[in-house]
Amino acid sequence: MPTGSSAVRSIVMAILLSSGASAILAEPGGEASSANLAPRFGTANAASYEITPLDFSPIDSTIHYLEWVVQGGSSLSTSTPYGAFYAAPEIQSGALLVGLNVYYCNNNPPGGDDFLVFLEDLDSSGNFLGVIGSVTAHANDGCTSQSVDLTGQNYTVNNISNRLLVWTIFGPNPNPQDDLTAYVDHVTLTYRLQLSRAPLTPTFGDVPLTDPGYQYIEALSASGVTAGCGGGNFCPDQSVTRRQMAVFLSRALGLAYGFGTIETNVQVPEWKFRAVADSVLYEDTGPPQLSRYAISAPVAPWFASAVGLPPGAVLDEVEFDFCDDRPSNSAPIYFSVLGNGAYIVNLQSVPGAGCGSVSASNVGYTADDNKLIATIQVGGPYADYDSRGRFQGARFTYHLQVSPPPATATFGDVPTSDVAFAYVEALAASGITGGCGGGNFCPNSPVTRRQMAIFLAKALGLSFY
Amino acid sequence: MKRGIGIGAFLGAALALATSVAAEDGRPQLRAKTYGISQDSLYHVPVTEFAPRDTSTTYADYVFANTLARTTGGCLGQCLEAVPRLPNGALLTKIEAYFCNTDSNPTDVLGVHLYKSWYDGTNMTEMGAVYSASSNGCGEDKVEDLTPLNYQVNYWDNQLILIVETHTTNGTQALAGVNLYYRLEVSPAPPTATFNDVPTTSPQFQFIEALAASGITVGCGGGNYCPNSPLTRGQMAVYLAKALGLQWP
Repeated sequence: MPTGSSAVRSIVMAILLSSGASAILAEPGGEASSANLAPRFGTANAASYEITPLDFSPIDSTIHYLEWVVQGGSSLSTSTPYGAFYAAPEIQSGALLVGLNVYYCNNNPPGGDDFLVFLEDLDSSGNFLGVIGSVTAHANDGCTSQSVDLTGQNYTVNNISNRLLVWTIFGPNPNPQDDLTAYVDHVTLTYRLQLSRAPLTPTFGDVPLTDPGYQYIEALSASGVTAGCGGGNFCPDQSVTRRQMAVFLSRALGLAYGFGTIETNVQVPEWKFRAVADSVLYEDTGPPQLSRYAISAPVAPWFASAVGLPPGAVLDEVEFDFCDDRPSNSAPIYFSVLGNGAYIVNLQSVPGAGCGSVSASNVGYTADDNKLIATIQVGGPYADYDSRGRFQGARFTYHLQVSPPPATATFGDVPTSDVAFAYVEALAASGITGGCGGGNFCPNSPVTRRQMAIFLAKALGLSFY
Repeated sequence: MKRGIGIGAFLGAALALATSVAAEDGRPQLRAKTYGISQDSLYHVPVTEFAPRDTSTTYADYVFANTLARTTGGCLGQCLEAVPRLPNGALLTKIEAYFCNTDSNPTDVLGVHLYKSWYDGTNMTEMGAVYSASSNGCGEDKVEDLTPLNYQVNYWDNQLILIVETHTTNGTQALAGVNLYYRLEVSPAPPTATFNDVPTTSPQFQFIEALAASGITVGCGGGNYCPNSPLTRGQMAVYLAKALGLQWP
């Protein structure tokens, strides 16, 4: 495999190396303020999905790529003529696309190469249907961003019948020196949860088409959250008991793990860690223990993966699994996590100590719209790049939390001193409730079953299509 | 058509305006990805997520008859790998793969395997597979029912792996994508009760225990849950905000 201009790569890799090697002790993470946290629930606000350079895959293995994932930013660049990369965003079915935003640098001289970023619609078999939006990153634009308003497209995500694809294609001479002249920094898709149309025939005898809760009650019924109150009715005006609330919520969320404020986790196996440049060669061991290791690199080989946590989730623990059978005087394997360009976890192996894991607990970092970047670097330049230094991946443990409350109250009858203040404010800010009228929330009124249906359907963005 | 060769034609196709989705007739279905327990949800694993297991494995994304698909070379057997991220606790119900198999040799199998392993990479176990065994062209999709496994996703103990198996290096076999179907479930009830007034014999025992275990409720005090008390709007705000981990901008 040709390696292109190894001199430039070596410089970049050396920067990567020094950043990782010098930051062994954990630094305090830059905790995002609640004002920057995006919603996952409710229909009031647009949410954002980030596509990082690590989420883009070259369309074939002849394409050179070079990524920069260290403090201060990330990049995706290529020196291959017409080098193209694909990424597949994951957005909830029923969401309405709002915008395509491309953050990039193009320092090619005037008249030099532009590059393009497309958001494309495919059918479920992978057939191209058309372009939803596109951005041209012109030569000499410098480092900037462009946004495309997608609201006019009225495109509702439907993961059953369609797929979204973001791709970028560079020109005939995109990075003439095989450097970072032109690159994609990241792309975001913004979207909004919505409630779409309801069926034309009612499910329940006592919830006709004209009922103000019709759309919401139908959505709950279709989701299997409620079967009504018997006799073909829903009993919308009955109040909800605490018992019924437990059934509603458990069934709506499929409560097993992942909701509520207890810990849950996400795995990042070894094959999600990609070499940050195509000049790093690697192999996988296969069973009995799935592991990845470098076999050749210009300098200490660096692998990375982008990890999305729910916005607002608190990162509790990060664990890396590895085997280090190299001589004890080798440089360690370095394991790091970056949040918004700052190191929040730094760990390392003990060379010669064999198979095991290292972990950081009580990390305390609050995730936002931007994905975390996990990096694994086999220390060098004196290390031996072979299967004696190998890794199995990482595991992230986190829990959800409720936003801290604002300084002032939204509702006259839920003052800042109310025990439910933070929770009521969170519901209001998410667009799940507008109160009971007259600037009040009526916290002590019983919830009716109709109100319950509206609350839940709005909260989850339950959507027909 | 290989993308790198026919780039002009490809760009032409790509620049066509998005076609509108045909209006649906009859009763719409609600198949939101993440919520409710009445039907299967779908997790799509696009071909772009399938990465070579080593750098001696080559791959290329092709557009066969306007279908995006990924093919491999330099590797026989298990060559491309992807990681599905399903919700913890979800029940696996089905695996489906879309193939673009133009290979003329019917014995050249193209397959997709679903494995699980422990998170340290050991104890790899096959859970299901789908195959395209002959030159059926693009658009073929194969399905295997996974419900007999009765497997619940559990990322505390296991990870899931999708592996593409190819038996030719001539570029005539490609994968167009994989779908995993799953169903959300409410956790099974524990053997003992958390609240004095919600015994194991209560019809709602399982649901109330699930709420307690998720940290959404601690009951009404005195070791009780007060299941028959009316729910106030204030209490509901606490339930929902805690359940969803509501973060507002």
